[in-house]
Amino acid sequence: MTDRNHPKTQFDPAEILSAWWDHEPVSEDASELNWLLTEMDHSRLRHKLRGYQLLQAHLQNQAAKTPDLLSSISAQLEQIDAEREQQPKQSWQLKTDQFCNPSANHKRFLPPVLRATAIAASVIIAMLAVGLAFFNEPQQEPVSSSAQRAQGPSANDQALRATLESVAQTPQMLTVVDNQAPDQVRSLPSANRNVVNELPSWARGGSVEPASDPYLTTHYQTTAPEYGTVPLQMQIHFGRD
Amino acid sequence: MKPQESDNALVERAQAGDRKAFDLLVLKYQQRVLRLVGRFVRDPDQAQDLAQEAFIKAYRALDRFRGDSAFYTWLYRIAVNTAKNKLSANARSGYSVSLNQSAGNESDDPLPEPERLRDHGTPERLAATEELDQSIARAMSKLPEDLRTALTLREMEGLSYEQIAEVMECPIGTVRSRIFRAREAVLQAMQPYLD
Repeated sequence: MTDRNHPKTQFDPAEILSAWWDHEPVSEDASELNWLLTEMDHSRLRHKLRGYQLLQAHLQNQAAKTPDLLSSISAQLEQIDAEREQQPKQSWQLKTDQFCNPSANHKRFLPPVLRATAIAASVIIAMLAVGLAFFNEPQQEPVSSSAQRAQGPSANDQALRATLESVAQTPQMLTVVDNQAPDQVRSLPSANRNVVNELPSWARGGSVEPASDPYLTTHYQTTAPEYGTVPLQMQIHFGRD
Repeated sequence: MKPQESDNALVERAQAGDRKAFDLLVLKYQQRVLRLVGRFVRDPDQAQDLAQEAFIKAYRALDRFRGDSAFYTWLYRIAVNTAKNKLSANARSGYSVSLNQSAGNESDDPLPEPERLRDHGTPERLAATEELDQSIARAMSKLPEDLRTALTLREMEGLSYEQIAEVMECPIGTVRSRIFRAREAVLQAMQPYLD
């Protein structure tokens, strides 16, 4: 096989290769090297460089094993190339499947005019929907609240209200409330301790048979539905306080 | 153009998907990498595996090479890290290892124990290697004096083209040409062993 010399420098491709092997490139730019890669057959390049390598090993008196690693890794390099070719497709699929609306890619390929029209239509529809929502709002009432009003106060509410009224109307309690400054709330006079006796029966219950407070029961069922009912220990604790 | 720039030009081509360019870099540096990892492991087969692994890692990471350093310096780091990782893995698995204390020095001096990587192949293979050595020696002896001197100064003494030009009192272009012609002549004699 006869090689053409480099059009400008008239170097033989093998001479360029030889100089490159010695880290002594022939010119200031990489044009010869690029030309060499284009011009010289791959197998011929490998053949020559393998020869240089063996010659070098001989001259440097390295009776050493000089394996051609390229032969061993070529298959793996090809596999890496194949993976890289597949990679863009996979990343596209990943985005489509996991993060994007599947139709997003179709939208991307729409003509700009159609896209703009579609966006404008979406905005108008959204505004109409908001307007309709505002228009209908005064006429609609929550079903739960209207039903509650129709039924009147619940039994729990009535019990709670009665309890609070009875406690608030006790003369001793009123005295305590009137006479205490905010900073004295924690140190009640011993004479007023009998106010505790005026508390309703459910608040004075013992630890063995705790009174069941309908308010507490309702409260816990509302805030912690996973428990279902007020745990016994909690009822005792709140009863004492 | 500096030597590292010519390598970087090849790297750029390889980054653009030109496998041929990367193959050239493998062919150019495989022996250096092999010698380098041979300082970490005594077993020649293991050294070969490590060198291969280093090149594959380099190929995978080629997109991250920005050309801030010479390609070989970058490859050197990959090879050393690969060898060190292998040593750690061997130590964990209880495999007996030996680390040459000179390893890690970036200089590419000949190994203190060159027999480490000596070919322990079959008798046929050893005989073929012997024949190859003899054919190279014959071809070298037949070379004209100026060609043989230029090639010897380059390969055995490691002189640059500029230094050889000073020694031989000729232009650099002539040195380049002499070395090239010497190689071509010897390669001609080696032909049967290369196929």
